[in-house]
Amino acid sequence: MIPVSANTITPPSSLEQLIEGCRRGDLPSQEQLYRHCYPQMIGICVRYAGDLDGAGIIFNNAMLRVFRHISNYQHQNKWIPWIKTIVVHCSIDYVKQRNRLRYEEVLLLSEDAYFIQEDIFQKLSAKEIQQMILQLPNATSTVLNLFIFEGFTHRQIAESLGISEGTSKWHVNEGRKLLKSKLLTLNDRHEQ
Amino acid sequence: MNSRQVFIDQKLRELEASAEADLSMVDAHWLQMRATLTSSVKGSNRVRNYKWWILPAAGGILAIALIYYSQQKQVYHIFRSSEAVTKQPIESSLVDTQLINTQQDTLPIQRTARATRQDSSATTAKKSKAVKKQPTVIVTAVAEVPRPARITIRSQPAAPAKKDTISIRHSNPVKKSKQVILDIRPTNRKDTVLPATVVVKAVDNEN
Repeated sequence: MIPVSANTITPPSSLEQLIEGCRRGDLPSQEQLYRHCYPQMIGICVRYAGDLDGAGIIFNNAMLRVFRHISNYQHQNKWIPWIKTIVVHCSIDYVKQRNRLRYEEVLLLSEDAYFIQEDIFQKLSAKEIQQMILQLPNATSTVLNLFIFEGFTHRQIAESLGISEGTSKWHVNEGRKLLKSKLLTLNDRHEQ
Repeated sequence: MNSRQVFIDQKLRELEASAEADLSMVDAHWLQMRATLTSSVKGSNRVRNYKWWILPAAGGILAIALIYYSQQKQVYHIFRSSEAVTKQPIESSLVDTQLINTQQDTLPIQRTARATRQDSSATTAKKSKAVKKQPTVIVTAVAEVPRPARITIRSQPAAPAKKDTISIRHSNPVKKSKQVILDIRPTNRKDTVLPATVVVKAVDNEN
């Protein structure tokens, strides 16, 4: 279902029709596609930007790229993954532009698997978890987002952010460690 | 406490998938997007139109600049005066002119003079000797023009085509002074016999 604002009357259209309209530069079609993608993509943007304003900038940049290059994209039925890729790349650009990444070369001892008690998550909402990730250092938060949520490999992260694979691994482990300690602290507070 | 442990990444992914998107600002964000889209469309149209008129505009500016430059350098008037002689001999508009002085000098050309100065080597001397035999004849004529007019000069009889071509060095509209000095010299550097008379025609500026 395409979410439509109360003051906009738009007839229901299939995604392919919307894409065709966007290829012609039709503004209502562009609006519908924008609103169609917004709920899925804004979460990704928020994870990198930290707030809705920044997320809006990222999403708008991404959609601008989508509208500009939509006529060149040939792979049918892969629109949403394509748009998601653009959104992730725009997020990385945004983070880079804001100079929020401070990487230092680190020595990686071992990549540990961090386990945590399951019931902790039952007491926390998704929003609280998101806030917790945002509270991590910017570089760690960005690498963790790319690794956990976008499914990037360490090599892809290293290429995207211009860092070494070892640094990427260190940030992921550091992020898990920090998250775990924060979750445990929060759990203790809930129990009290 | 439940002792079951889960991998933190997996749990985070599950939570992310279940998280609800915040749609409170979708309208505001779309308005920003629409403004960008509209302005970018207008911008691209402007660029497209700009491309259409930039070439004629640039051509016009270049033409104006050329005309201005030629006027400054009096190139344009030479062309126009020569055209007037060959194509537009308007007898009714001729102004009476009178040649008040003509002078004829035979001078060695400049290259000869330079070569004579540097006659240290035998080859240079040879060269200078060879060139010395080719004097250049310069005729200076002063014509009286009663009122502002365009001056044209024609040699009589007409100069032969190639060797003894006459170049007119001074032929332009006379605006203030009524006397104009005509410096006539052959363009080639060989021996030249100038035409017997120099005809000066002055045509009204209005024509």
